[in-house]
Amino acid sequence: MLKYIKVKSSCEHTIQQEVRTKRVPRFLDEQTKVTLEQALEMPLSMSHLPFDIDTLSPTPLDPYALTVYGGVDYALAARSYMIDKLHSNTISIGDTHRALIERAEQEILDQHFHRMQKNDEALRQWKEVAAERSSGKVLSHRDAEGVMQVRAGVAQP
Amino acid sequence: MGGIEVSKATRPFCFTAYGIAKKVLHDRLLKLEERVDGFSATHDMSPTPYRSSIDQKNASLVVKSQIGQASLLGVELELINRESSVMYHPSEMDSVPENRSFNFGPHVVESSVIDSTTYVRVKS
Repeated sequence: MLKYIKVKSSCEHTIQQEVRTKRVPRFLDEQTKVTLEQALEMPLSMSHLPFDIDTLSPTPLDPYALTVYGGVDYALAARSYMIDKLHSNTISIGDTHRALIERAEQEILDQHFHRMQKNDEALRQWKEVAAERSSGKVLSHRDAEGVMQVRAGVAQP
Repeated sequence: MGGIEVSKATRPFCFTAYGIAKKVLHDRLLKLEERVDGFSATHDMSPTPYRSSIDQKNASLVVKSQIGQASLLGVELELINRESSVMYHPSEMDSVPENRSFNFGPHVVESSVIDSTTYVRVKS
């Protein structure tokens, strides 16, 4: 059986206190009335990245539709963030362990792409089901906002 | 989908940040236990994995552990943690600042953690 047998950590990285805004973004105002089909198609724009709001935020369900800071793609921003973290954490060993860092970079990119594809496919299926069973019924504000937050990856359990 | 992702933390090569991320996750599980009837979580910070896979070509190691279970409207659910790492040979790379060893029978594998993802799925 696989067992953890040792953890070594001589990390001397300075962990800066991360300033997180805990306020979950709102996408719709009270007056906006939308159907489920509309809520699944509306543009998603946030002033912060999901992981700036919640350190452990999952990958957004609709990653290719999400933009941040007024136009930056989530896909690109998240990829840059993770690769930056990798390089800053390995700066002291970068010269001697280039191959290891490259493998780590590839693993991060593979996972990032894989999860985004999976979520995108799941949302596509949801959209198809919603279109087939379309009732045109207007969602309550709470439900519509919930759909938007799940798409953006900021909904709380 | 196979499961719904509920948390994700990418903390490559930094056990300090990785430890903080794990603590935040366990704090969240504690809150869920308080609020959701029938939910219970494993609070061992390093639960014994039930599955592991090695990608020799890319030298990556993935381990999965069950860290919680719950019941919702009679449906049994489980919370799975998936961690991925890159492997290396310690004799060739002796100055990796943070590592973790796994024991595969007689073999010891040295690895450095990349990320930790948690998802919920119907219990199998």
